[in-house]
Amino acid sequence: MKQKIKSIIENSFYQLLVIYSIIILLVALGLFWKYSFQLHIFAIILAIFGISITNKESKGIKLNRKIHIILFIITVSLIFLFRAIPYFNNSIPLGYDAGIYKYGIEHGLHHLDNWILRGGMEPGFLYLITFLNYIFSSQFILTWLLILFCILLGIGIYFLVREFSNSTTAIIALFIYTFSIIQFKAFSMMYYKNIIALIFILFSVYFLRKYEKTNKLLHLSLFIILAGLIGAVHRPTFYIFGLSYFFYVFISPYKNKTYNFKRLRNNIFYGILIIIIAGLFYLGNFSQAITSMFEPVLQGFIQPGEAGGTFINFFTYQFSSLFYLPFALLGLFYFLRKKQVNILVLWAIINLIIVYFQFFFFNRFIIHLDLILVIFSAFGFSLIIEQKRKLGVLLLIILLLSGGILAYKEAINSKPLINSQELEAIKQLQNTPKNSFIMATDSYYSPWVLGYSERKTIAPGLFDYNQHNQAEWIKFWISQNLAEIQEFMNKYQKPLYIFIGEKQQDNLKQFDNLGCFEKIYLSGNNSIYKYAC
Amino acid sequence: MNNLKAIIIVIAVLAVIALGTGIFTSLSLFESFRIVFGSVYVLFLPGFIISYIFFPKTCEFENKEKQKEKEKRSIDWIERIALSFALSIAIVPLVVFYLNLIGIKINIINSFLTILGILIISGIILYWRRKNF
Repeated sequence: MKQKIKSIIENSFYQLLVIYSIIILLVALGLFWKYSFQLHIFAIILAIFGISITNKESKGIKLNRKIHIILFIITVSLIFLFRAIPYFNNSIPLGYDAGIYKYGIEHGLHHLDNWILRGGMEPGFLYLITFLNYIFSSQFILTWLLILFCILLGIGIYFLVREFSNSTTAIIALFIYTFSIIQFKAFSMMYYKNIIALIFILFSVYFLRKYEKTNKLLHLSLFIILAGLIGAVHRPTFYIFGLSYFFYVFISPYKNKTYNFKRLRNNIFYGILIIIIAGLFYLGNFSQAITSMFEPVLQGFIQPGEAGGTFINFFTYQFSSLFYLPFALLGLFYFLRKKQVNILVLWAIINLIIVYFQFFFFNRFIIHLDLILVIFSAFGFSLIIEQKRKLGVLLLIILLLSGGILAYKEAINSKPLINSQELEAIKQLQNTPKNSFIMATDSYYSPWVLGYSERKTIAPGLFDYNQHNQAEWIKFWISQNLAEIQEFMNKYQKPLYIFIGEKQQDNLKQFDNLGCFEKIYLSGNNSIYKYAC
Repeated sequence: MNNLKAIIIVIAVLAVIALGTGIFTSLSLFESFRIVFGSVYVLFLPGFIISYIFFPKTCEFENKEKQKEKEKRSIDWIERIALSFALSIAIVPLVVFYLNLIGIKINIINSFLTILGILIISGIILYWRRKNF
C-alpha cells in the first residue's frame, strides 16, 4: 500500500512537472502574464511532490567530453552576449550607482571622503579598483570589465558545483546562471562590489571543499585568504558568509554520531584568521565602517521589514525565478534528506531565513539567495535526469529555453538611467572653476553629478557636503519664496552651481530673472544655474 | 622549446586581438594594446603563476583518470584559467593594501613593479619547489 502511494506521488510529480514546464514556456513566449496564476505556489507544491525521488542515490550523469566543452563555450559566450546587449549603440554605464563607482575608481582612495570611510566603499574594493584604473579607463572598468567579472562569477559556480557533484551538473548550473534574471539585474543595477564578493565567496567555498577532500594546508590557506577578502570587498556578503561559516564551524565536526572537538577548535581558529584578514583592511576606521553596522543589523532582527536595501522584493523574486525554483527546492531537499548539511546548505537556509523573514538587507540578499538556489537547482535537474533521462533532458531544454527568452527580454529592455544629453549636460560642469561646489537637487542625478562633474557634490542625503535634513530639502523643493531659497543656498560655500536634469522639476525656473540664479547652460530640459547672491 | 613556442603564439594572438580591438572599436591602438596586454599582466599572470604553486600539474579536461590525478594536486586547463583570474583579483588588492600600509604609494610605476614583484617571487617559489620535489 505504502509503495503504491509512493508510486502515485512519483507519477503525479512527473506529470505536474510537464504541465509546469509548458506553462513556463507559454509565460516566456508572452502568451499569458506570469502573475495570472499562483505559479510560485505551484513551484513549491511541485518541489514537495518531488521529495519522493530524493531518497534515491545520485550516481551522476556523464556527458561526452566534446559536447561538454562546446556547451561550456556556449554558456560563457551567452553570459557575455546578454550583458553586452545594453552596450550595443550605448556607452553610458548601467545602474544608479555608476557615477558613485566612477568617483570611487578615480578618486576614492586618494580623497578618502567621510562617506567612503563610513562604508560607502569597502577598502578592499577600492584597492583593487584603483589599481586597475592605472591599466584601464574608468569607462572600461564600469562596462566591459564588469562583464568579465560576471563571466568569472559564472565560472566560479561551474567549478564549485563540479567540486560538490559532477561536471554535467556543473554545466547545468552554468546555464541556469546565464539565464537568471536576478543575476542579470545585479549586473544591470551595477552591484559591482557584490559581484566581486560573490566571486570570492564561491572560490573560497571551492577551496574549503578541496581542503575537506585533501586536507592540504595550501587549499586551506587559499580558503582563508579568499574568505577574508569577502569582508574587505563587501561587508553584507561577508555577513552572509560569516553566518554560514559560523554554523558550519559547529555542525561540520559532527560525523557518524561522533563529535570531533579537534576539528571544532581548528574551525574556530580559521574563522579568527578570516576575521583578522578582513579586519586589517578597516584599521583606523573600524568604528565608522564596522561598529556602526551593528545597530541596523540588530534592529533588523527586532523590527523586520525595514532597511531592505534597493532591489526587487521576495514576491517579485519568486516570479522571476520560476524556471528553476522547484528544482532549487528539490536540490535543497535532496541534501537535507541525505543529511549532507554542508556549507552550501547552510548558506541557502540562512539566506532564505533572512530574505523570507525580512531581516537586515533582505531585498539585497535576494542576489545571494538566487545564486545559491541556482546551484541547488542544478542538483535538482540532475536528480530528475538521472531518474528519467529523456524526460529530464526534454524538460531541462524547455525550461532553459524559457529562461533564455526571459533573460533576452530583460537584456534588451535594460537601458542606462540617463541619456546622452543628460550626461553631456553633467559633463559641462567640468568647465566650472575647480574649487566649485555642484548641487544636485534630486537624488536621481546625485551619483552622476558626483562621478562626471569632477567637482565637490552637494546632494540630498548623500556624500559629505550636504548640510540639510530631509524636511529642509522638501521645503527647498516646494518653496516659492526667494528669501527662503537664499537662506538655504547660503549655507554652502561659493562658487556654487546647481544642476537640474530633465527628469526632475525645475524649482529654480521661477527665480530666473531675479538676479540670484544665472542660467549658464541649457540643453533640452537640462539646466545649469550659477548661484550669484 | 615547446614552452617558448606557446608563449610566442599567445603573444601573437594577443597582439592580433589588440589590433582588431583598435581597428574595430573607438579605442586608439595604444589604448587597445594597453587593455589587452594590461588585462593579461594584471588580471591573469599573477594568478596563473600562483596557481602552479598550489596545483603543480595540469591534467586534461574531464580526463577519466582525473580522480587519480586529482590526488596528485592537478587541475584541468579551464580550472587553471579560471583560478588565474580569481587568484589575480584576490592577491592584487591584498599586496597593494600591505604595501600601502608600509608607506608605498599607489601609482602607475609602483603598480607595475608590484605585479612584477609578485611574478618574480612566485616564479622563484615555483622554481624552488620544482627543484626540491
